[in-house]
Amino acid sequence: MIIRKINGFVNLNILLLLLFFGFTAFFYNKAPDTTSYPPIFSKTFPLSTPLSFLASMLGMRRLAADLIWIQVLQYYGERERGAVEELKKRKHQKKESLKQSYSKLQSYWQQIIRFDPLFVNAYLIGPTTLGWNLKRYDEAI
Amino acid sequence: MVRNIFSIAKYTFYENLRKKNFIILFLYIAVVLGSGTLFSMLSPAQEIRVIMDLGTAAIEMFAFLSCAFISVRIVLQEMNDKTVYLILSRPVTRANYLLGRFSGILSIMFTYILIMIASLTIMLLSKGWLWDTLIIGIGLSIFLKIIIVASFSILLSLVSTSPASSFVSIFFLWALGHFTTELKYLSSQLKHNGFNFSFLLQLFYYILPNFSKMNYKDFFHIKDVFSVDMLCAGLYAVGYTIAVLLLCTIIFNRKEL
Repeated sequence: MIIRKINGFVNLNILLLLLFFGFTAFFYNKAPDTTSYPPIFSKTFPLSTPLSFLASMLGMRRLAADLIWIQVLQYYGERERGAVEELKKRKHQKKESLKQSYSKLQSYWQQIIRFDPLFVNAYLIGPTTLGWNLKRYDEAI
Repeated sequence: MVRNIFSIAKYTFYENLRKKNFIILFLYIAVVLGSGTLFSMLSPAQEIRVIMDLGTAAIEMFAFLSCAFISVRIVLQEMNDKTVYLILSRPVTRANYLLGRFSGILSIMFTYILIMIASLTIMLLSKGWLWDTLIIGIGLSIFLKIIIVASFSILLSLVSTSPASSFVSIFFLWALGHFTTELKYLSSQLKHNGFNFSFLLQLFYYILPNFSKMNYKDFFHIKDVFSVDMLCAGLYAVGYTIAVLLLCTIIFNRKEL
């Protein structure tokens, strides 16, 4: 009766099912995860939490980094005009006001690098804007 | 047997063409063209990178959505309309029917991905991108994910009673499949902090389909797309799909229609 059950269609399927799950488990360990980056939630994100979810839950780290790249360009470009006008008014406080402007800039650059640690332009432009333009040397380093 | 499967697959392919599901391709082309124009203005320094990332992400999302919609509906609707009796009353076993449907879905998804990859390539070439075979590898890795999604959608359509609930479940599965790396990290953190239920997260990590093993669209710049790792990921996807299809067959054979 047991042999008949084993030969029965359903049980044969169950055996095959187990076999293929075993096969899958073997290749599961053989194929490494495509990412060698640190997990997204191992870092804190002061800005753009929806984008971190997009990156982690839909597997779109590069796209999330690109979207923040565009955000930071707009953020830095848009407020710059206002900051320059303000500087013209208060020339004596130039250095101080430079340090105080664009308070979120470092967070933006950090986020881009956390999503995509090999985004070369973020490493080039981020520290330049922070260190060269805004004189925030600690943040630039 | 092969003839039966081929006939059902061919019927599924033409049925989807008739239902005009391919309209999603026009939507995709509009997204790629629109974003190409927009990003060339917003980010001239990273134009090709942004178009490439947005294009591949859109291919994956459109392929996932169309695959989930087609596969969730296809078997469930036939069972509700009772048209499945007509097919099964002929010398077609239930396993053959499922395999035929599955092959039909895969053929249509393969065509969709091919057209989307071609349109993205044309867009990139027009922006001055130099041809690289990695885009074919990215398309293949997306197709591997879609194979698993198609099999799971059929499984969910067999166990649930409405297409909406199946679709929501497959969406959560898609998200969790990409979240596995984070799950592993969260599990290690929980274990580190002395929580005992971290094994549950580890269990999820091993049972759920791990899409991060096939996520080459995010890491093609650091990983070799055509490599042994990719082959192993492909075999993992195929093995997982066969196992899920066997589970589908067991459930469908026991189901009272």
